[in-house]
Amino acid sequence: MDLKNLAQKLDRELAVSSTLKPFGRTEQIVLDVKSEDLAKVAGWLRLEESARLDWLENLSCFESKSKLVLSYFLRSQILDHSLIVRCELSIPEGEKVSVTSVASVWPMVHPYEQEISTLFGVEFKGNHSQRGVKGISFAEGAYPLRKSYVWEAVVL
Amino acid sequence: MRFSQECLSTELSLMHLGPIHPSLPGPMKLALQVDGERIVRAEIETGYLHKGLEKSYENRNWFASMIPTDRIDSEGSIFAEMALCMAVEQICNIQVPRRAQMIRLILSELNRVSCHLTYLARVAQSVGFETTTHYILRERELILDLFELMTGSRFNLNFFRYGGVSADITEGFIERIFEVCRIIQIRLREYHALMIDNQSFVTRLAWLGPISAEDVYLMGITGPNARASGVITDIRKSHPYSGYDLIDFRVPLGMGAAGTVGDSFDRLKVRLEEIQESLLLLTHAAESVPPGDFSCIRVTHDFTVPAGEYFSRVEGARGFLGCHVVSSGDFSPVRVQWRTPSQNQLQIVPQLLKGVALQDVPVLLSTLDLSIPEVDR
Repeated sequence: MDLKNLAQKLDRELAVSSTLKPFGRTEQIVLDVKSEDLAKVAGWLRLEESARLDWLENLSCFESKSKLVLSYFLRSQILDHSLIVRCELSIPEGEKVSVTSVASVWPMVHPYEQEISTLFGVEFKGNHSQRGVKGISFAEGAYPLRKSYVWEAVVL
Repeated sequence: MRFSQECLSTELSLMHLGPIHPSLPGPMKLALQVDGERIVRAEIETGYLHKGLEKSYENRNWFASMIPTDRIDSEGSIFAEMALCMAVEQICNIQVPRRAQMIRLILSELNRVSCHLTYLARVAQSVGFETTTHYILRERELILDLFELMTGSRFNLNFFRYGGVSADITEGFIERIFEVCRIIQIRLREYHALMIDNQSFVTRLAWLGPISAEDVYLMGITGPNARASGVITDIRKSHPYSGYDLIDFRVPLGMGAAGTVGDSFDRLKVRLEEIQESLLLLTHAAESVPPGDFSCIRVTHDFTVPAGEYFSRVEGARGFLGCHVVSSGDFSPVRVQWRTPSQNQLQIVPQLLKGVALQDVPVLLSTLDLSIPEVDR
């Protein structure tokens, strides 16, 4: 997959600004997009002929430099290539942040969005999936995987 | 005697199973709305086994990170160790010696056979075939003894290290592998007769809880459950690691042997065939362990990982196990996130339970091979 062309085509067709960055020290590339453009980009990547990214392997979240970084690990079952799409969210202290859900594009994202919502306090707008599976819940405003959450435990 | 209208009420009733119940795969609540004996609606609540494992990585150094890794899934701990080690090795650009890769492959396949044998025992137990359960657990003991011989533990092996493994092959281990493979090959024929050729067993499982290929895609199901539905997916083939590219093996698929493609019987049959393939893999790997080092670096408590990240993929016994590791160059990881197969597989349970009779609930849940520790972490 020619990622440079893909990014240029994305910028042209959707008028979104995206950047390509390396994924750590690997040869894989991360497509960085703004959180408000995420849903548009997701739908486009699913349908675009040169991408056809129809399978979401994983959705990961981590906190870095006071921002929450969402990483979507995508794969095309038809064209057998992969891409990582990333967006950053600013963290208001003790409050939830919100981003549009991609469940309408990649339905298998549901358990990951549910877990990140609980553990990081990210609200995925538009995820109305009622699969009847409820996970762990914490007190309001308590988001354990944020760095600001004080975990009072003694590691022996 | 005439019955009044109240005695013949046909309202739906609510039934709660769990969090601790013998028919459940682990601590979870199952709320069932039933119409007589048939389930109309099911809801699941998990989180009872949440241990804060992913948070605990941030408070440990890299060397100690193997401890919570084993606890992702105690039955299949070697797969989680493999995933974490692969991710860290990629970030650090560490080349694992060939001998260590083969040792890792051997232990992975032994763990796969052990997990699948546990699965067969659990399914037999849920159906009521207690004798078969004991036969299968007897064979599983041979594998646990092998783990003890090599690593010192039966479960939670804590054997893989960044750059290799913690010790070389124990004397007698390779010979014992050949012996165990030979014994289990013979026993597999017995299990075939007790399960596959047993009409009452087949009737219990056929047509129960079929998962279509479309549902495999919608729910993100991987591993033997996906292969039972006819979907070809195996990380060992698509992203080969640790020597799997050097050994040829078959990936069994479900064919609707008794009922329909992707039903409980297919899920069991695929795992029986995978045990067969794993035994062949083991024999081949044990014959071709090269000479050399069992590790290329010595990992101690002050081991650090340079800034970077990686997402590793491993084919666990239950499916695609992924590990996203993020490092800032510090003594502790910034993040270790796990993509576990049971997380996705749990999503289909409420849908599968609709229309199922109450007595089939334990059987259906056991054939899905869910690991609640993997889901909750």
